[in-house]
Amino acid sequence: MTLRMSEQSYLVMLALAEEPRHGYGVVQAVLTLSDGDVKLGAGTLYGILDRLVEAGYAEASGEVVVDGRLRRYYRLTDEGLGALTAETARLRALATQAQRVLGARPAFGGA
Amino acid sequence: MRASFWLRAYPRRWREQRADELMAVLADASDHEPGRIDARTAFDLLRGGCATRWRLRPPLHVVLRYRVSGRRPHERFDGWLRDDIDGRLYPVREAAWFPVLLAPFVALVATWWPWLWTNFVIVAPVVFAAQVLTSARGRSRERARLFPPPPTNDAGPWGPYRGLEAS
Repeated sequence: MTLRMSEQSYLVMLALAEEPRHGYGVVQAVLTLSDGDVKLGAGTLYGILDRLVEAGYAEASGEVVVDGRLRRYYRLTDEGLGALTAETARLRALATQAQRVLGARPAFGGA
Repeated sequence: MRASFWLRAYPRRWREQRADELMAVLADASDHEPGRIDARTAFDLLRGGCATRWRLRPPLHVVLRYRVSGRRPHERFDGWLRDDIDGRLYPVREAAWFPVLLAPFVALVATWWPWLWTNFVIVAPVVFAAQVLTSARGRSRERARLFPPPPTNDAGPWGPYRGLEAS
């Protein structure tokens, strides 16, 4: 099953690529990765995690209880890592194209 | 707002598996007193719950066949089926399809016979109420039909015959 990768999904996968994380850990990592732009709500986060697990891109890797709160950790699978690498290459190519297009434009205020 | 209330947007089977960890994330992320969330988070849960219900439900034609003709959906939808029949609103869901499916037909015919609308508006709620009562009373029978108990060895604990020399 393939997954349409939104910016939020991409950031969640990036957060899981660093290390296995629990839900709130993913929220914090995404906030850091996006320079504070993307603050995931719990509903959004679990929608993304469900779809990643269904697609085989992520899996639950263990659970711990801290202060009476259940923390289930998630990690990226090899397939997920492959999809993330491919998406990163696509974004890099897109950014290169965008720079080329913008570089070819005449500067503002020119004749 | 109470988080547990908004969590009911998610399917029952999903809540049984995941509610504890989601509540932990809410508690970690929230500045409010435990179990309480703000309006933005409530909306996020509502949206996530509806999306999850939509994602986990069978295709529409499967649901329609099940509602209208009682045909059992495939085993891979057993989770949905169990949630449906155990849900508090099961009798309403069972009863609602009739007026909903009939209404477009009535609307079409009523272009020639406008009085049909009047009859429909009077009769449909009565049929609906009767169907709700019937479904509520027949719920356990329907559950047994959809989820029959597995076959058991009703002959008792009699093993295969063994020769006397074996003991």
